[in-house]
Amino acid sequence: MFRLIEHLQLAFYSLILALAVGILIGIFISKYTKLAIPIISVAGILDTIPSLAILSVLIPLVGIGKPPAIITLFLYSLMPIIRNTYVGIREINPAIIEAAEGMGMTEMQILIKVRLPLALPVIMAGIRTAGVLLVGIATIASLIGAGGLGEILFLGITSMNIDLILAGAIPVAFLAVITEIVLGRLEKAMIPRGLKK
Amino acid sequence: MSNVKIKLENVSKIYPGNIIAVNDLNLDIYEHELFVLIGPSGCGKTTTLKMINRLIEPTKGKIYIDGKDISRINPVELRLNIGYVIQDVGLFPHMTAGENIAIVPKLKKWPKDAIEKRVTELFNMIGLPAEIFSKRYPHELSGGQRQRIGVARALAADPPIVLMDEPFGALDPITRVILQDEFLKIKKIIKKTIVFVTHDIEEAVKLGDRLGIMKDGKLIQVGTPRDILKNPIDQFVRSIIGADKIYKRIDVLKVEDFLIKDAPAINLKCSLKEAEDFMLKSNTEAVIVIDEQKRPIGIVSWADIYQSNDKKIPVENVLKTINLQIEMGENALEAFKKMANLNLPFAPVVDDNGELKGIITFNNVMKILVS
Repeated sequence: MFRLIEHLQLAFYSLILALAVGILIGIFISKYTKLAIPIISVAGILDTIPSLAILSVLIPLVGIGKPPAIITLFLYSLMPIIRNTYVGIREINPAIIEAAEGMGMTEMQILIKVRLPLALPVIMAGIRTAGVLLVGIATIASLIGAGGLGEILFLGITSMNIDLILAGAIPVAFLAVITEIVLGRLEKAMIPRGLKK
Repeated sequence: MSNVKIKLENVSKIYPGNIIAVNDLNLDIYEHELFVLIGPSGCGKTTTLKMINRLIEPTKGKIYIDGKDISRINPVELRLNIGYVIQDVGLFPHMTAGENIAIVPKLKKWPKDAIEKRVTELFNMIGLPAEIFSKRYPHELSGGQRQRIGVARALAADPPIVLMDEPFGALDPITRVILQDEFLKIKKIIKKTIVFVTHDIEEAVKLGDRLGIMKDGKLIQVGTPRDILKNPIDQFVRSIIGADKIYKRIDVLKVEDFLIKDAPAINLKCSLKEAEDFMLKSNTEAVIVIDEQKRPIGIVSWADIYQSNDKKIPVENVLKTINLQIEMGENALEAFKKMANLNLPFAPVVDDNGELKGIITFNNVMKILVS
């Protein structure tokens, strides 16, 4: 049970971090579109690097334990959040933005009252992707002593104990499914009524 | 219609690559008039419109509102006082119709109850019951309803100026006509300076107090619909107004546009003999009989003259009265409808004093429309 909470904590903290940074970057590159392709590419490349490799690179920099694990997870979940924020904002009908400008809304008012609410469904989909991804990858974080359900799983693998493997793997799988469902619900609840067809 | 509300002075918009969207435009738009910018796509009409609320900045020239150079006004401040309606409506899909209308009053920080009152008032004005529609989202509305909300939203904070960019362009023809008619009524109540962009000449003529016809970034002709329809300045304007289809726009012409001034008329005291001579001389089938105050009383035709052997009696004894008088300034179409109803081939036209000014005839209609 303790490992489960630890696992969730790892995923949750890195997701919050990724949300804060990812949405900001997404907004930024939707405004300065020249940067969009390079930044999304970099985030995409980060996603392709094996998680073990990132973890090992980070050890000499920040040591072992939770910090490097959270940084790794954060880097992984950045990509879907940046990309979806960017796409969500760019996909808004230009006529709506023009109307907002024409009515005398400031840049900031447009962002908060128009762009973000309208991009929310797409951003939420990105968050859901990231969340599920994180629950899975957080398993590996135990290899550098960050704890989590991976601890049980890997203990099972090294000791060839099938019960321990299942005790780690089954909760991880459940957690991923539950994350998907919870974030999906949240997504539905958060989308403004006018955007539901 | 005397105060200049919006003044464009040598305004040009040149895009990179020397693409000239608007070319040295000079234009005065008067207070409380509805000025229509019309022209083919790419003529610079929308660019001109958007320079008025600084969505586009002119490359050269100045625009003044109430004599103030708008480049010195904060664009946000400027736009809060200019209503804006666009073709795609631009209603915010995540807000209800009521919330959409309330946007500008909210931005202007009106008190809550004032906003509510205003929103209800606007729903009434656009003919949609507030209790049904204020809580609806744009996707729950028809195109026409959305466009009405768009107009209400632009009027919400009671701006002195409203810019409309093809507001009825995306609607089906029937809805468009209905909304235009509604808008004409609203326009009379609200007393705003409205700049209206369209490529539909019918719409321009119907709604506009004055039109500005644009081509390649230049204003080709400015005038009332009537001026332009009557005297198109060149072939381009003629093609825009569809000179071949002008009969469709008889509705904007007035009685005086069809007036035949030198209508034959004689005094009621004239004898039949005098009438006969007069009619022979003027080669006419009938003459109008007028009294001492030059008011038309009736007509005398050859048949009336021949029915009496006594050529010395005055025409007033034989004339046929006409029970139709058209007044100067009347809408020509209405006048011709009255004539048709009474089966009259012509009708006398009088001024304010009832004095005969001339006649209008059906025969003349085609001649004038085709010329």
